[in-house]
Amino acid sequence: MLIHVRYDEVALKGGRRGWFEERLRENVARQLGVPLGRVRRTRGRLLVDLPADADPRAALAALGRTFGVASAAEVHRVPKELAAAEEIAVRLAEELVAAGRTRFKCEVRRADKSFPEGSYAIAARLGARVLEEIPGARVDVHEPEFVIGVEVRDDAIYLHSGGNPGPRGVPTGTGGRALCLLSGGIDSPVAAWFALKRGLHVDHCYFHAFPYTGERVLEKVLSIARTLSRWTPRRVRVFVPSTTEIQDRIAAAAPEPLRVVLLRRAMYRIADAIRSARGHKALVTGEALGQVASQTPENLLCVEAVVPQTLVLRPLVGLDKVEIMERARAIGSYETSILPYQDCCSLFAPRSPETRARPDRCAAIEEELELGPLEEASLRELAVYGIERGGEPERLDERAPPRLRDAATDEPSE
Amino acid sequence: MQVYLDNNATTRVAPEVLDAMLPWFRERWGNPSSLHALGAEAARALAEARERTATALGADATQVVFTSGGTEANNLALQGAARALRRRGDHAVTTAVEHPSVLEVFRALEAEGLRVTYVPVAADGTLDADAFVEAVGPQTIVASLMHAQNETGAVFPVEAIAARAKARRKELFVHVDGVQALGKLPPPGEVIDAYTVSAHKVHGPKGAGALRLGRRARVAALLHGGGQERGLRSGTEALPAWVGLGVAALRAHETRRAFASRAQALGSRLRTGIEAAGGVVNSPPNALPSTLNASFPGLPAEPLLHALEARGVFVSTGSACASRKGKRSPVLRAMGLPDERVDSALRFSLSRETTAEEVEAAVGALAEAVAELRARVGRC
Repeated sequence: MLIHVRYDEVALKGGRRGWFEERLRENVARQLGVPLGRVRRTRGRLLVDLPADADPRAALAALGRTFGVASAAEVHRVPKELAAAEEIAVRLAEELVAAGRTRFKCEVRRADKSFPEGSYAIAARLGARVLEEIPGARVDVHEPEFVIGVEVRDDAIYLHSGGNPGPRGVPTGTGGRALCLLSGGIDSPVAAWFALKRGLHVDHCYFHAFPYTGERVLEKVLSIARTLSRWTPRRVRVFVPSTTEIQDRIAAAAPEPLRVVLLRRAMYRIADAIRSARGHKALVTGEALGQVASQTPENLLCVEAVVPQTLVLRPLVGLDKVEIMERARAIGSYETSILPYQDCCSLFAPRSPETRARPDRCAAIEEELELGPLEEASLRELAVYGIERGGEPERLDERAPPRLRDAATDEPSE
Repeated sequence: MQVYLDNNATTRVAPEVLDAMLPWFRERWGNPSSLHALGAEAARALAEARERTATALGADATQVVFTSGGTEANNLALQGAARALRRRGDHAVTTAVEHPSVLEVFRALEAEGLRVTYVPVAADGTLDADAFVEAVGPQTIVASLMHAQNETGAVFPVEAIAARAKARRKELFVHVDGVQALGKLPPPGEVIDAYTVSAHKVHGPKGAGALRLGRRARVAALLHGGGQERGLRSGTEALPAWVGLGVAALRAHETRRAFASRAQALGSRLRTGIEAAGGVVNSPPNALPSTLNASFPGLPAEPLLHALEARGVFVSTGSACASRKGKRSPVLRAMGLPDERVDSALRFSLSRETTAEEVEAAVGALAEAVAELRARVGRC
């Protein structure tokens, strides 16, 4: 069983093309769970030789979640005789016509120029045979409902019909790794997905606040992370620091309108310490502009100010709620995200949040609240989970990352 | 110590119930409809389960229709009666605080043209019997009310209401949802045409329930097929589950008086503890002693629930079903409680397995959890 994998964007990567293709080849092998040797690079494509017992539908679905793939199709390889190619063409057409698609054409590429028949003649013969054997099939070269692709190569003739579109994008991991601030909501999983699409392997950081949030919320977030882990070939980590004490301190002593901004600044500092210890190159968040009262440019800047040395990616900034929901459905995270288990204490949210928070004022308040030791404690008691390609989340016995970073130098602070 | 005080949501399966069920999974898997010996012994077990359930419900075996649980029994009674009585009228009466498996059935029937009156409850959660009876008119075909309310434990005088309602409208079909009452209140008399019970609220398995049907009650089937359960509920009998229901229901019936007096003592101890922790009881005085709904004004219910959970005490905010939807309890809102009370309401529900020691532990944990939460959010 052969699968033909096309890629387009990676082909554009100039001098690094070979390197990108190699990363894609590795990702494809991991996503399909086959040894690397079964994925060959050939003339700007990948050819996967699936083990005989593999399920081709599951393989095509997995390739539909492999970034960098433009399309994937099951390929049939026959000896270089047209009679054999005709048999396969008829079989492919039979399935598609039964599924209600009747207008087709044959597209032939004759890479082996020594093959006696020309591409036009081959297409005509295969087409005629399909018309003869499959009632209802019609040729339509302008608007076909399916295409029977034929490639005559040196070693054999390869046939396929269309194929499944892939997610395109850049092979995951080629851009390094990023850390996403994942909540139980609809937005952040979509943000993580966009980062994955642009070549970043994404781990997650979820801030748990027991007893304000119950175990069901943690389970929900791990379940979302599990869904996202199906889109990356590598193990996904979920870091779970607790923000209960920090929330309490802020609620007790900070000006109410600034609560959310102060909590988010603390979250950014904690996430950034994890990022820096684990070698992630960026933070990813589901923030957008103007979705809630507190998401103003001033507030985003005020939060971001605590990590001046860190790239903060907000892929959702150009999307509206409807677009985000559609994307969440396509990713598969939507159904989990809308489960009712809440991830924020309604008592904590200010009645009228500040919309123009200022970093200097926030910093002064933080000093007074002595949040630093609480953030350090949160990092020390970090829980870490690992998820392998859609598998069961597993608690990892990993050491806590080192101390908070000094914002200006990205060095451990004293 | 783990203290489970969420018994109105579901209960632990009693060991004797599980023991009674297991042979019907392991060794005796026959279909009661089969003609051979394995089928015959299954049919005998089914008959015995029906006898036991009937005894628990104060009825004849012929009056018991087994179902997949309370929801199906409620659906069968209400949809079935509305369909059977369609030509006699177009109106139904129920209360504003019924379980979703009653309210949502009526919402669906409304879409088919049935008019439904939802009778409100008083501020203490009790039902105004006069208002319910007076809502019954010449076009009323179905009335449905619960025996004991799942969130507050309020007990509705179902027999008196049914008798008065039928005096106004002879053809009236009266259904009572007795899911929370089994083992806690005596089964009502023949004046009730259909009575719903569920196994898993009385230490039986999930997925088993029954509808007790009056001798003259007519309902149309919802599930058509092989004609099991007198044609009212087709489908191969869920024998192990129904054997479990029979044992659990009978046991609940036999221990009812003993449990009532124990629950009285345990409930009153719990109430003292709740009030000492600053709680305000929402359940009415006539409520089942095993159900205590209480608010802790100023403290959000869910964090308090989790703070109790961290101390090994499991309770519920509103009903488990309502909390899953993440909405304010419609039952407490129907009582007209202010949002602050509704948002801080917890439900403590006991079972016959609850011990005095557990209640003491729960009271201690509650005091701690409330103190922790006050320290945390008191400053919000």
